[in-house]
Amino acid sequence: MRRILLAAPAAVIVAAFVTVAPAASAASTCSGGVFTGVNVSGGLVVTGACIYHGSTISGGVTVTSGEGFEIENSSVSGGVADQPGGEFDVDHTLSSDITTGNHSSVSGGIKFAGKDIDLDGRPSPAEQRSRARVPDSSRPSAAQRLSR
Amino acid sequence: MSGVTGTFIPVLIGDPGEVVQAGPVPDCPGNTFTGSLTVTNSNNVEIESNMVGGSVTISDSTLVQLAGNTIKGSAQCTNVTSAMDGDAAPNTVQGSNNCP
Repeated sequence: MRRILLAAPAAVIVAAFVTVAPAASAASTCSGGVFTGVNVSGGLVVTGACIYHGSTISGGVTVTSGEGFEIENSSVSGGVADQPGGEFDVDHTLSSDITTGNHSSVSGGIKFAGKDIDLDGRPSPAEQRSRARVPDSSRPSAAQRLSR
Repeated sequence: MSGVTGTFIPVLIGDPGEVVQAGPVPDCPGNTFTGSLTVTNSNNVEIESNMVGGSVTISDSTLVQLAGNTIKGSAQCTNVTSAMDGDAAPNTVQGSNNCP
């Protein structure tokens, strides 16, 4: 009887550890949606169309087959990998040809064997227009033009 | 993939090869990718105006646009069909480069 009483608490401790440990290390899952300003640690598995704005994701990202992952103004560490048929867009909207100009960073490498990858560092159309304008300070003044 | 502590790099504005540069920001790439970039068996690949810290390897892929990037490593393309749009700028590759 005493042996049973000693063994019982030990069993409870082991059971608690087994229950808690996998949850603490498991990657988060995104099944779809638009997210702003979130921090994901421990990795992310994408099982839908997932768009992240201004977010930080660490632990790596896996895009499952046929699904889409888009980041805007965000950072990913731990790399990005996909399963065949996936889509990965950076500063570019999913399933389109639209440049957003919201630049991001990815560390840890990218391994892609999917359907569509768009890593688009170009400025947005509005940004291009504003940058194409020469600032007034660099233009010759009226007096300078007259003196020429 | 192993977990790596993330470092958020704020917005970098730029577009290599842009005809007109205005303002205080020098010509610089948009996104920053640390590590290598490997693309295989894909049919729509656009990698444009980025900073890539490692090498770029693209194989067995179609409709590939690799333009305007600064690549610290090499750029290797095998069995690739390119599809350049009108604003394509050349890449700056520090290592070897056999990509179209």
